[in-house]
Amino acid sequence: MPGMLRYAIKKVLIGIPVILFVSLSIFFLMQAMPGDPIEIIAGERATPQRIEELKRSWGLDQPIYIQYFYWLSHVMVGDFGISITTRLPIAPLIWSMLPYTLALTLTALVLSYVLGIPIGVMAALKRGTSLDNITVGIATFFYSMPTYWLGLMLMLTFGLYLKLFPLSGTDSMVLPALTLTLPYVAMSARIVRTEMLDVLTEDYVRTAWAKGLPSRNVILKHALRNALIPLTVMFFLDLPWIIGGAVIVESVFAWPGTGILLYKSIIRQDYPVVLAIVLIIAILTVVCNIVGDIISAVLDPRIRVEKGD
Amino acid sequence: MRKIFSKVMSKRAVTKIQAIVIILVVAVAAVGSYWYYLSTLPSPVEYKKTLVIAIPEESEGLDIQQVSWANEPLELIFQSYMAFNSTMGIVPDLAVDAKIEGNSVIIYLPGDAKFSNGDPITAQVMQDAIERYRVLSPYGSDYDAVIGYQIINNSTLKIITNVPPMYIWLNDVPTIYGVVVNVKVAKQVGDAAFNENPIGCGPYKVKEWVHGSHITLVRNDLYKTNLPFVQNKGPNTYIDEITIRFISEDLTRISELEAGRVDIVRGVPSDAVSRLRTNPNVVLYENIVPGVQAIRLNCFKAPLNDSRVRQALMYAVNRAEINTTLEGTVLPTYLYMSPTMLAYNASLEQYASNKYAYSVEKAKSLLQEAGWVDIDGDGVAEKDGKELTLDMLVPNDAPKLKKIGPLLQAKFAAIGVKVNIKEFSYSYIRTRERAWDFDMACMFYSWHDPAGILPYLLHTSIANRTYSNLEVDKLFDKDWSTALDPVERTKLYTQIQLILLNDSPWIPLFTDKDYTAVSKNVKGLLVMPPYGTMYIQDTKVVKGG
Repeated sequence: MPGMLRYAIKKVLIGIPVILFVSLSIFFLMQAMPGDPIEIIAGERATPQRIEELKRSWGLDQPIYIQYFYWLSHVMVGDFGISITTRLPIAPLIWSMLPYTLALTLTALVLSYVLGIPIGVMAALKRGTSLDNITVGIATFFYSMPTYWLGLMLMLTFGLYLKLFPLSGTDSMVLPALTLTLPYVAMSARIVRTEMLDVLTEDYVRTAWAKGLPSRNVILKHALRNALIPLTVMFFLDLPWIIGGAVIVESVFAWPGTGILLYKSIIRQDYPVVLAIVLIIAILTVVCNIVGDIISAVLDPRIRVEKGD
Repeated sequence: MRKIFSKVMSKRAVTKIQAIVIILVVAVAAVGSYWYYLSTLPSPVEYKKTLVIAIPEESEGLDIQQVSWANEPLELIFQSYMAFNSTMGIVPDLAVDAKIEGNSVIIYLPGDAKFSNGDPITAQVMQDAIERYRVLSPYGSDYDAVIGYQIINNSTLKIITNVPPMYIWLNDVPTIYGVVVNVKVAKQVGDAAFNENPIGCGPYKVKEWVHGSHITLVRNDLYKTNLPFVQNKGPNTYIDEITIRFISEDLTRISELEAGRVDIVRGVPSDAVSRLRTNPNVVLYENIVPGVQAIRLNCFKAPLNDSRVRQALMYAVNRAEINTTLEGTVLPTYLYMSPTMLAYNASLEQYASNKYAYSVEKAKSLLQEAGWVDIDGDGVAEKDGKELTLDMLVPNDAPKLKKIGPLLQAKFAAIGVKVNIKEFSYSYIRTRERAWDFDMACMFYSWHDPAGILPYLLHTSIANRTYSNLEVDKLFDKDWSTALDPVERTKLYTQIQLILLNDSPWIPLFTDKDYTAVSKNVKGLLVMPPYGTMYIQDTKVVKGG
């Protein structure tokens, strides 16, 4: 697929300045935020002289563009620096927490599609029936429920009262994964249902039925394949946020992930940690966009034609 | 029945069967009685070898010399030379003794003192640790007065200062900040690695730190203490391992205790206190925090440059109502110091509470005296056509201050002062304070020695630029430069606070109380002032329960 390859390379080349721009924006935005991380780490009894010394030692007395280029030059060689609040190296800190977040969010994401797609298809095929109404009702309920509240309710019900699962921590992933999965299942089921309803009224689907093709073939090969295209795009757009998007669930269930690390670092104005995580998310966003585009093209030949393949 | 049996078997056989049945019945009765007797005896108590503690905040780092605040893991990894007892007296811990001699502090260690890795703790090691603290710690300036050391013998160090060393004696020697760390290991592994896995001489040492999740500590079998208030002066053989979990969500932390998966919960939120008090499976420890939460006023900016306006605000605050709003989890205060601070004067608190008892009338009359009167009847006082409007900075990361913000606003409105609440992070509020850019700013501090905190907040030449009174400065300087006995110090801080009460640069609101919820299975735990430090030397955790 040389056309597709050209397209991918072009996307990667565009992605590099995008990543740089994102890092630059975040760097300056963090500097513009009210407050000062040195105020946090200096403590109550630090003298103004000590605060100035600390600023010097962290290079925070330098002009902002020098700080940025210094940071960028280190990132280029894989050194994210040291956390201002913990004084620990950032890269090992992120890598130690990333597996927990990936385990949780990927499980939730995969489960939501595995469960959401058949539910959505079923609801579309039984449109207007009580099954459809119940499915849509439950999906709306979970989709509109605040994650924080849902997490607490699951924790109290299944952890504290029924004692079926541990309430929090890394002993079991069931409750945090369920909290993340339920709204996602609802969302993907609703999308699949809507797309399937559109696709089922298309001429080629009617033709397939008219030709007497088996229902399974019509639904899976002709209808579902097309209905899944927007879901695929959404999957890849969601993917970068699996690193920082589970803040609430991680907080409720004391799950040691990068979402909570990002949140706490923003609160503590720990610039180096925030920059490192945001940079990873930016890189993932660019990569996932490219992968998402390629997969969309594979699923939908019209996209290939538009790209001149 | 006997007739029926006699038809099918001989009389002798029937007698035999009867005898066997009687013997069996007697045997069963005897065994049953013995079984019942055994069951009434108290069963031997079994103890759990692990202790699980849930805390709200993960440690910044584990090297006490690199962090700005210490929490539970650090209190178990390190050991102070001296410690505070329940009456705030200074008693030996790692040191067998310590004393002030002229312009010096002498610390006497036991001859066999060792770090958890077996390295000996000598006078030279203590000196190296102090020098590292001076360079690394944000509080390194604590030792600014040090001009030299004298190693008296292998386990005795004299720290020589250019002024009486009261500051070091009260702020470092008995606290977790002034402890000895293994500098040799820190140099070998580097500061970053040492911050992950430090070597101290406290009762436990680091096994693993899973960031964001927990720290596991294992017993330091070389631990020894001279604390007079604990019975066990060595390692606690009942608890091999302590897991300290970081659970930031309040409800989760409390639920884990109620579910029996956690033994001790620190940082109990105020709204859970009354529920836990009635829980028969939980023991609640209360500790009065050394410090106050207050509103700082910008005394150099109109209209707060008029002491009558500031005093009016003092009268406008109903502290009893604050306590009710916070469900009785604070101690209302009118002073700049709290009962768990050194040099605290309880009778002065009584005096201040009478002087500034809640009074809308007095507040309004002071405002009127200062020329602020509500002429147009809109509820806001005016002067020279200008309304009495003030901005109040409230930290959104300090739950209790945030919660009472609207109450304070309503109380100030009642005397004709319109207060606009502006919520920011506490670090930003501190930045604004340093830039003089505020009218009113909520603030709090926590430190046991007034000399170690109040000058940093109120002395003209150190940090404060929104209040200045040279008389107060002189009194602070006197405490720093002379060796005062506790009675003299109390008098000195009474004098300082009397001036402050008149000047009113702050509106003291309350002293916070910290709560520790402990499972009833945990026996022998000590929670000591001023910081509610847990001493687990005599602690046992009963299995099941």
